[in-house]
Amino acid sequence: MNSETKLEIDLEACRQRNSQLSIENDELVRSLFEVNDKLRDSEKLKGHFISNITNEIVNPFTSVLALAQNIKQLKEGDIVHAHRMAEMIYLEAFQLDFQLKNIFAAAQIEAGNEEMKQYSFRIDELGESLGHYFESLLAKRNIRLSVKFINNLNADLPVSFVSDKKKVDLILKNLISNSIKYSPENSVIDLEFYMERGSLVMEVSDHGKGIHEVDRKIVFDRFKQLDEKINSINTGHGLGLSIVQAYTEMLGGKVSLNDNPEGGLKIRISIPESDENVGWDDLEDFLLDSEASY
Amino acid sequence: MNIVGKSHYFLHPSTIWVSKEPQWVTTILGSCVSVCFFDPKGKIGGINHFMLPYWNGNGLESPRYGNVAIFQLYQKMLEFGANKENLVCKIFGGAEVLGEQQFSFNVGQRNIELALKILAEMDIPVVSSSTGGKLGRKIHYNTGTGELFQKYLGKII
Repeated sequence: MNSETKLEIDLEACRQRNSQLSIENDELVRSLFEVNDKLRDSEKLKGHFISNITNEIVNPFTSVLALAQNIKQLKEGDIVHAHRMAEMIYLEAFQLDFQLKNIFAAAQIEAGNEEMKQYSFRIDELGESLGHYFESLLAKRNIRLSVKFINNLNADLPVSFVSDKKKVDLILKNLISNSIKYSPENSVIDLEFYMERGSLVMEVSDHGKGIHEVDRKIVFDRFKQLDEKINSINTGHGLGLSIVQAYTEMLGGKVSLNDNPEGGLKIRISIPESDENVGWDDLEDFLLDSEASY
Repeated sequence: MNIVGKSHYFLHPSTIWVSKEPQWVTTILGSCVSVCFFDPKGKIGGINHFMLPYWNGNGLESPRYGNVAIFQLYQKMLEFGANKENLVCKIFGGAEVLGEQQFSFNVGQRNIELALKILAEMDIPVVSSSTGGKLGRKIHYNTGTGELFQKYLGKII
């Protein structure tokens, strides 16, 4: 090979490397812009924070206090009113409890304190308890939650799955709570469970307004709410989906957002089955690192 | 050395473990990196397990990201009574085992670089490390003695 061809080959390699670097550079600049936007958002968030806390925590408490006071003053025998007010207290307290659970979950994830408690549980029980949990909220807006076990998950045949049940449960609660929030009245929310290549797949479909393609990346950011106005539909702190994503990743799974063919949003979570015990190996084939003792 | 059968804690990605009591902690690393702090005088050890170098505002600000994880581990070490002057550290992981496009920019390498950079800024000596390469690693870390055992994993994780 003469030196000229060798030079040409080198030159070609340099060109390739150059174009590769320029692509990487573009990518980095783009992500810098993204971070910039996020910084701006986070500044805005500070401003929203106080009004958000008022809306989410102080107002429900005020309602609970006022309702309890009213019940106290009811005349004897006015059980119908008492029932109605108790239901209102329940809903306010339910929302508060749910918000606080999310806040604590997010705080634990951010502190790196989350522990995994993997054990075997029944998938059908998971589905059933959700319907019960959201009963009042669903009834209030006349929405039906349809839980289905499809394909290889036959409802007559209890199937066990090893994972962290509490985390899976909070993932589903957040998805369903979101769906209820954005679903029109008198609609149906579908929750489907099935197994696919050793993973448990859970799909939640609603008939709400869905999430635009452009927004799908940012909805997982903490405190991010697409509609930043404070109103009765847009409750919560925008933590739900960020917890869904963090938990799903901890469990080794994936989240994806799709359009529901019938209009609305379809969220798909797939979680691989965990090993119940991660065993300790014999140390014989391990290398002790050079600075083993101090 | 026979420590088989001793109870051990499995450290999951994006989490942190610090303890005063001697504890064997096991974790599995691909392109992820574990920074293991140890205070030889106070016999306090801690370990993290991060997946990506920087938190850039995506999702929660969790120890999934190196810049968060190293700082948090350091804070926790001090809370547990470790002395900054005594701290030493070991770094493991950062292999190139991910073939996915979204992680194309040498995530393992960037994780290691970030760890080294932060530790240099904090002025904490790195006394031992095993990083890079193409194979995953399984490590057992004893938080009471600072001992660390490593095994390469044959399969790509």
